[in-house]
Amino acid sequence: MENFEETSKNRISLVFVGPRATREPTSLEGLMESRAPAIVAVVVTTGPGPGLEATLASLVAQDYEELSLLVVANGETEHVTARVAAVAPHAFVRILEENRGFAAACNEASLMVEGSAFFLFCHDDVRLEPDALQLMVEAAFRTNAGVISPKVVAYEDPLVLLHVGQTCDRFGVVHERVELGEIDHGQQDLERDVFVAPGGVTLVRSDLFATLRGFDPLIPALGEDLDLCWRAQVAGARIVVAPLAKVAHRETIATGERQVSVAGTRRASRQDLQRRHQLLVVATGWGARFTFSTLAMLLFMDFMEFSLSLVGGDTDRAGAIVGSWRWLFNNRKRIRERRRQRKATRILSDAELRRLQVGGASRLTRFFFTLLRDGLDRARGILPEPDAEQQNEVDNLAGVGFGAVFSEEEEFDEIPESGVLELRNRPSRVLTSFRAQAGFVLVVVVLWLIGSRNLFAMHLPLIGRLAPLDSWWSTWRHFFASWSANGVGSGSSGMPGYGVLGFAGTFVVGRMGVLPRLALVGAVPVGAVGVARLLRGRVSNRARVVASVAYLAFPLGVNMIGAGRIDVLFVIAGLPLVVRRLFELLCVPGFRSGPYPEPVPFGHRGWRSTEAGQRMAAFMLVALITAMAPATLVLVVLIVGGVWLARFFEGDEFQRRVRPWRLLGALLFNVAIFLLPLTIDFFVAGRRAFEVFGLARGPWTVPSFADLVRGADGTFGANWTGWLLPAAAVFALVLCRDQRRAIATKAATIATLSLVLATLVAHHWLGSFAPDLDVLLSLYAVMIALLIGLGVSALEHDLRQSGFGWRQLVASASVAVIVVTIIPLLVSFASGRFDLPTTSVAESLSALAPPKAGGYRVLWLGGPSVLPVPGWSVEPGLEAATSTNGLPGGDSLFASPDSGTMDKVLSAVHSAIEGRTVRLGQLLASAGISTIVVMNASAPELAGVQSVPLHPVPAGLTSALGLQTDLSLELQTNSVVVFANSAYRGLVSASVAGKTTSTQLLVSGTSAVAVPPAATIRAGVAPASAFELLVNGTALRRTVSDGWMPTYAVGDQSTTPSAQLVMHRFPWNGILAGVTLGIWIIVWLGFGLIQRLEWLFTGRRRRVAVARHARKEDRG
Amino acid sequence: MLALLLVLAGLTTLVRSSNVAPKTSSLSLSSNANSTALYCTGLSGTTGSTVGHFTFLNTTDVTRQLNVQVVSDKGVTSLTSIKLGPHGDKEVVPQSEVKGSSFAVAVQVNGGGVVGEEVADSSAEAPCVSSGTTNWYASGFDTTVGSTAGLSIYNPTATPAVFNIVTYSPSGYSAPAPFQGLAVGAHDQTVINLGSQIVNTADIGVRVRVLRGSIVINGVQESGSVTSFAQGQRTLTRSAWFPAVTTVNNARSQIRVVNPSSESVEVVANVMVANYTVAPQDLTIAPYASGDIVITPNSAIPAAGYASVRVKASAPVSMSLVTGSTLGSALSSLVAPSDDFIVADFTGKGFDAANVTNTSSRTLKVTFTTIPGPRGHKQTGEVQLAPEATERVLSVFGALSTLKGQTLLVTGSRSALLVSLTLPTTPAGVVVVSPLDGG
Repeated sequence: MENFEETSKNRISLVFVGPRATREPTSLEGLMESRAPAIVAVVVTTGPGPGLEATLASLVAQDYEELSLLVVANGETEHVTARVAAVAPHAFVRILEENRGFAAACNEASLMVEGSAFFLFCHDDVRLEPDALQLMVEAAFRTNAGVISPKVVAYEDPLVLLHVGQTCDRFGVVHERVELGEIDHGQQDLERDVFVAPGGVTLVRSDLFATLRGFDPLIPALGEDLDLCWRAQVAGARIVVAPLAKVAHRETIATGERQVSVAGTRRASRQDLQRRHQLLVVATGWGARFTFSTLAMLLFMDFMEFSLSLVGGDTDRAGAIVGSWRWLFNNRKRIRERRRQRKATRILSDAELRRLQVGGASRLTRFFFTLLRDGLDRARGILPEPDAEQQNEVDNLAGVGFGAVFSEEEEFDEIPESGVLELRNRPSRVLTSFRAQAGFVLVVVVLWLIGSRNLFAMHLPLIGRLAPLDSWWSTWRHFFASWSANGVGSGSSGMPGYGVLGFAGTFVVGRMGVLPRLALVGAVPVGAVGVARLLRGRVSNRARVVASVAYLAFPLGVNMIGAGRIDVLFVIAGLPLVVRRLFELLCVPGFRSGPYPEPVPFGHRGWRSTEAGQRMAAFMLVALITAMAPATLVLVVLIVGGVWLARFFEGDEFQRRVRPWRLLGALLFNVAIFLLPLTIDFFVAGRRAFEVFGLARGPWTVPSFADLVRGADGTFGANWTGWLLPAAAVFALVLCRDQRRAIATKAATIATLSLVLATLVAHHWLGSFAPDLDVLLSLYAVMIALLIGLGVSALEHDLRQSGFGWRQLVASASVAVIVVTIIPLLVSFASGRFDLPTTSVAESLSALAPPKAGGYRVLWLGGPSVLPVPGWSVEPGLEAATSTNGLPGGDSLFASPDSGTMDKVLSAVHSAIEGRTVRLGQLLASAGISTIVVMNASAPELAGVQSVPLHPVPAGLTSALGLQTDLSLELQTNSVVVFANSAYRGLVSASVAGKTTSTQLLVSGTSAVAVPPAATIRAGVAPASAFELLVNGTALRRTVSDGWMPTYAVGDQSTTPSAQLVMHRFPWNGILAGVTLGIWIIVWLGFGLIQRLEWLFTGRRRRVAVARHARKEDRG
Repeated sequence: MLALLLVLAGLTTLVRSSNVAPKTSSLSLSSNANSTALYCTGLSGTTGSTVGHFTFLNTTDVTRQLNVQVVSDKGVTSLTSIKLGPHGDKEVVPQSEVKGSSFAVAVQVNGGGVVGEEVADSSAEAPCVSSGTTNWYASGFDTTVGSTAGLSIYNPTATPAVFNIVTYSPSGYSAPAPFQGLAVGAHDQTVINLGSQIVNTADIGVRVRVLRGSIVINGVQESGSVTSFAQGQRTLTRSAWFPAVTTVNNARSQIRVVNPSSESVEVVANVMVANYTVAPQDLTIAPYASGDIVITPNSAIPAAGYASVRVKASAPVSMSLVTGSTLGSALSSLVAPSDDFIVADFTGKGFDAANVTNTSSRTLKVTFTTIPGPRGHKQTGEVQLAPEATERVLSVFGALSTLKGQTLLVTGSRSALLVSLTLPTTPAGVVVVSPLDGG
C-alpha cells in the first residue's frame, strides 16, 4: 500500500510511479532519445464495477512507458481502493462523493492532472490488448488526430466486432460502421477518420480536451462520446480510429447489465437519456440556419413517431419524445452557453461538418426498413429487438468462432434483422430471374387476351377509325386512284395510308377485316414490347418488364381502343421504336455504344448497320407511322427538340457528336419523299395544310390539363389512379443518377414539351396547327414508361449508393405506385373489349337514305374526336365530312388536307352557324347532301351497357340548323341530331326549263340512264374537269355552275336520251403512287433482300476489277 | 425551366373555355347575310280587330328580293316574290292572298337589312322576327268577360313542332291537358285560345316549351275594343325598364309579373316621375303564380304624364306592361336592351312619346339616322345619354315633329339602349308599341 497515494481534492503533479522500461538504451538511441508523451489513463468506475480488475490489469500490462493510472470512483467507495491496489499498486485513486456521471468524473480527473499529452478515458468494463495504447498513440501522431478510438470487440468473443469508430447523421443518431455480429477478419483494419469515437476507451489529446472544456456534465451517460467528438470536429480536430489497437468492451450499461445510477437521472430510462442528449447535441452542434432546419425536421419526425407511439400505446417512447423536448427547453440557458462556446471554437463550417456525416436520418431508416422487413410492431419496438434475440443466440452458442463461417445454415450469411446497411445493399429478388420474368410476362399476356376477348369476335362499331375496310385490292386501288369521293369529290393524290393498309393486308392474305381487330388487340402490347426494346441494354430485364407493363397500363392505350382510334393505336405501337432509333441517332447516352461501322455502298452487305442505313431505317419507320397518323411528324420534332433542349440545360458527353437540327431536316425531307402524295397535298392545301396533323377540337371537349398529365382522353384513367404513373415517372426522375439521369432528363424534357404543346393545342392557341392530342399523348406515354423503366433501374443501382433519406421514401412510393397502377388496368379487363361500344351512333341511323334512292351524300358534323370519318375543320370543335350513299366506308379512311371544293360546303355550314343564311339545305343540295348528321358522341348511351362521353358540337350549331327553313329535324337525342334536307334534289339532277323542281338521277358512273329531253344536268361531283357526260355516246359541252358544279345541257330530242357520267383524268395520281412505292421498294431492298442479290450490284464491278487487273498484268 | 413550363401549362386550366353560342348580330340589319328570313303571325281574317297587314322595309341601299309565303290556319299558302328597292317598303295584305281565319307570313330575303312589322287595324303592332324559339314566356293576358287571349303560332321550319303550354295566374299554376303535346306542322300556322282552358281569369302568364323544332309565337290580347300583340320573352329576366308608362288621369297602367320558379319572388318597382319622388312599389309573388303592380291609378304616384319605371326582381321573372282606359287594356311586352332599333311609323299617326333610355351605368352615345324615302335625304343626330337617363327622340329631331311617316335608325354604342314608343291616344300613352330590332 505504500505506493498507493490517495489524491487530494487539490490539483496534483503527477509522479510517474508505473513500470519503467527495463532495457538500457544504446548510445545512438541515447542521443536520439526523446521520452514518450505522458499519458494519464482515467478509469471511471461506478458501483461494483465487475470488470474493474481486468481493466486495470490490462492497463498495467500496457507496453507504453509513460502511462499513469488514475481511477476515479464515482460515488461508491466500498473496497475500491483495495481492489485497485491489488491490481495496480501505482495507480492513483480519486473517490467522488456523488456519482455525477462519467463526464463529470473525467472532467474532475483532467483538472487533477498537469503535464500529460493525452488522456485515455476508460470505462471500468474494458480490456485492452497490451499494445493497444502504443498503437493508438502512434496513430495519433501519424494522423495528427485529436481523438483516437481503438477497434472495440466483444468482451466474451474477441472475434466479434462491436465498433470500429462510428458515424452519425445530422440528427445526432449514431450509426455503426460494422454489422451486428460482424466477424473480425481484419477487414476493418484500415486507419481512417470517423465521426464518433465510441466510449469505453478513448484517447484524447489533453490540449484539445482543455479547449473543449472537457465533457459536458449535462450528459452524464449515453451520449457524452458523441458530444465530445462532435465538438472536437467543430473545433477542427480529427477523430481517427486505430483498428490495430484492440479493446474488448463489456458494455454493461448499454446491454442493461448495469443501470445508470448517475445523480439526477435515476428516473430517466436509457431511451430518455439517449433522446435528450441527441437533441442537445443537435441543438448546439450546428449554425443558426442549419439548427433551425434540422430541429424542424427532427420535430416533425418526432411528432410522427410520437403519433405512432400513441396509436400503439407505447407510452415509454411517447414520454421519451416529449421529455426530450421538454428537457431541452428547460436547459435553454445551458444551450445558449454551449452555442457561445461552439462559436468560440468553431473551425469547420456546417457544410464541412455535414460532409463528415452520413446522409439521411438513421433512426427513420431503421424504423423504415424494420417496418418493411418485420412489420409495424417490431418497427415500433413492441417486439424484442432482433439484435437482442440474436445476442441471446450468440450467447447460447458461446461466441461465434471462425468455424462458423463454414456453417451450412442458409441464413448464416444473411445478417438477419435490422441490418440497415445490409438491407439497403441487398437487392430485391422480385422478378430477377428469367423464369420469374417470363412467368410474369406470360401472365400479363394471358390477362390482356382475357381483357380483349370480345374484340376478337364482336361486331366492330362505326366509331373512331373503325369504318369497315374495303377489299385488299380496292384498298390498293384507293392508293393509286385518280379521284376519291371525299368531300364533294377530290382529285387529290391517294393517301399513303391506303398503301400501308394494303401492304398490311398482304400479311393477312387479304382478310382486311382482321386488321382492325389486330390493331385493337395487339397495338398496345406491341408498343409495350417496343418499350422493352427501347430499354434493352440500358436497364435490367426487370426494369424493362415494369416499363412495358406501365405502358400497357397507361390510360391512353385503353382509351384509344375504346374509341376505336386505329390511327393512334398505330402510333402507340410504333412510337417506342421510333424513339429508340432517334435516340441512337442523337447519341443519347446509353443508346449508342460506339461509332458506326465504316460506310459501305448502298445495297451492299452491312449497309444497314452504317450510319446512313440506320438513318434510313429511322426515316422509313417514321414515314410508315406518319402515313397512318401524320401528327407523328410533330412527335419527331418534339423528340429532337426535347433532346436538344435537355442538352442545353444539362449537357452530356455526346452532345457535340450530332447536329440534331440537321438530322431533323434530313428526316423531314426523306419522310416527305417517302410520302410524296401526301407531301404534294400538303403543299397545295394552302391555309388548311396544317390540318393534316389534326383538327382543332373544341376547347370545351378537350381533356383538362390534369387529364393531359394523366394521359386520360377518355373515361379510363380520369380518376386518382391516373396520377400514379406520372408520379412514378417524377420519382424516377429524381432517383436517377449518372447515365440514367442523362436519359431521364431528356425523357422528362420531351414529355414536358409534349404536354405543353398539347395544352396549347387544347386551348386552340396555335390556330389551325392542332396536332392530334392523342398522338401527342402517345409520346408522353412512351416517355412516362421510359422514365419508369429508368426509375426501376435507379432503384437497383443508384439508390444503394446514397444514404437513407427522401430518395428511399420516394423509391418506396414508386414501387407502391407501380403496383397499384396495375389494379385499374385489371378492372378494365372486365368488359372484354376495353369499353369499346357495341353499337355506334352512325349505325343506328336508319333514315340516312333519302326517300327516293339514288346518289346522295350524308354530311357529318361533329367534334374531330367523335366523327367516324376524317374531314375538315369548320371551326374549332366542329369537323365536317361526307359519306356517299350511306355510312362511311373503306374509301373514306383518310382525308387529304386539301379540302378543295368541299370548302363550299364548309363555308355554307359556317354561314348557318353565324346566322347568315336560313337556306342551308339549298346551299348543300348542289352537293347532293340529303342528310345532315350532327354527332355529340360517337356511340349512344345505353344504360347499363355502354357509357360514352359527350363531346358536344359548338353550341350554336344545332339551333342554327334548326332555324333553317329547308332542314327538317328527323331525330334528336343526346348523342345525335339528324336533319333531312328538303331541298335535296339528288347527287346528279336534271331540271327541265319551266319546271322549278329537279329530278334526281342515278350516278353510278358506269351505267347509262334515261334523262329528260332539253334538260339541264347538274352533277354534284368535283372537280368538274374530271367528268364528262355522254348522251347517247356523245360527250356534251360542260359548263360550271355555282363555281364548281359540272353542268350539261341536253338537247331537245325526239327520243328519250340515255346519259352516262364518265370520269376522265390522266393518271397522275397513279404514277405518283407508283413512284413512291418504287422508292420504298428500292430502299427496302437496299436493307436486306438485296444482299442475296449482291452479285447484281457487285458482279459488274468485280468484272471491271478483274479486267483492270488483267490489263495491269498485260502492261507488266 | 421544364417545371416552369409545366406550371404555366397548368395555369392554363384557369382559362376555361365554355361552349357558348356566338352572339349573332341583329339579322335584319346585317347586310352581309346571304339570306335572311322574317316571320310574323297574329293577324286574323277579314273581320275582327286584328285584321291588318304586314309591312316590310328595306333598310339597306340595295334592292332586296323577298319570297313571301302567306299561310293561313286552313293550311292554304301563297308564294309571291316582291322586290324592295333601297329604303323601300311594301305592304302585304294576307287576306287578299289566301283564305283563312288567321295568318302568318314567312319571308325569305336574299340578304340582310330587311325588317317587317304586322299592323292590326286597331293600331296594334308587332315586329316580325327572324327565327323561331324553343322557349317563350309572356304575362298579362286576360280572359275575363269582354276579353279574349290567344297565342298565334307559326312553325317556320321544315320540322313539325311539338310544344307544351303551361299557364300561371294569381291563384297558381295550371297545365291543361289539351295544352300538352300540341303540334304544328312544318310551315303551318295555328291559334291557341287560352280562354278555352283558363276561363275568366285576369293576369295570366304563359310559358310555351317547344319539345321539338322551333316556333314563332305572338300573343294576341283583345280587351273591349282594344287589340294588342305580345311578343313575349325568350328568356326570363331579373330587371326591366319601362321608360314610358303613363300616369295620366283616366288611364290605367300595371306591371304584370309572372314567377315561374319554385321560390317566392320579391319585385320592386322604382317609379321615376319628373319633379317627384315616389316610394318604391313592391310586390311578393308566390311560386308559380302571377301578380301585378299598379302604377296608374295609384295614390302614391302623381298623375304627371309619363313615368319611367325600373323593376327589379329577386329571381328571373317574365314582365309586361298593361295600359288602358275605359275602352279596354293593351298588352305590351318587355323590350330587351339592344344596340340598335328602328323606329318606323307604320300606322301613319306618328308617336306621342318616343324615348331612348340608357339602361347601363355608363354614358351611352346614341346616334339617330333617318332612313329617307325614295326622294328624301338622310339626317343624323347624336346625343350622349347619361347613365340610366331617358331622352326624347323628338327633342333631337325637332323638325320632324311627331316622326309621322318617318323611319329612324337608332344606334347605341353598346347594347344598353332601349327605345320606347307610344301612339297618340286619349288619354295619353295607353297604346305602347315596340320598336323594330329585327330580332
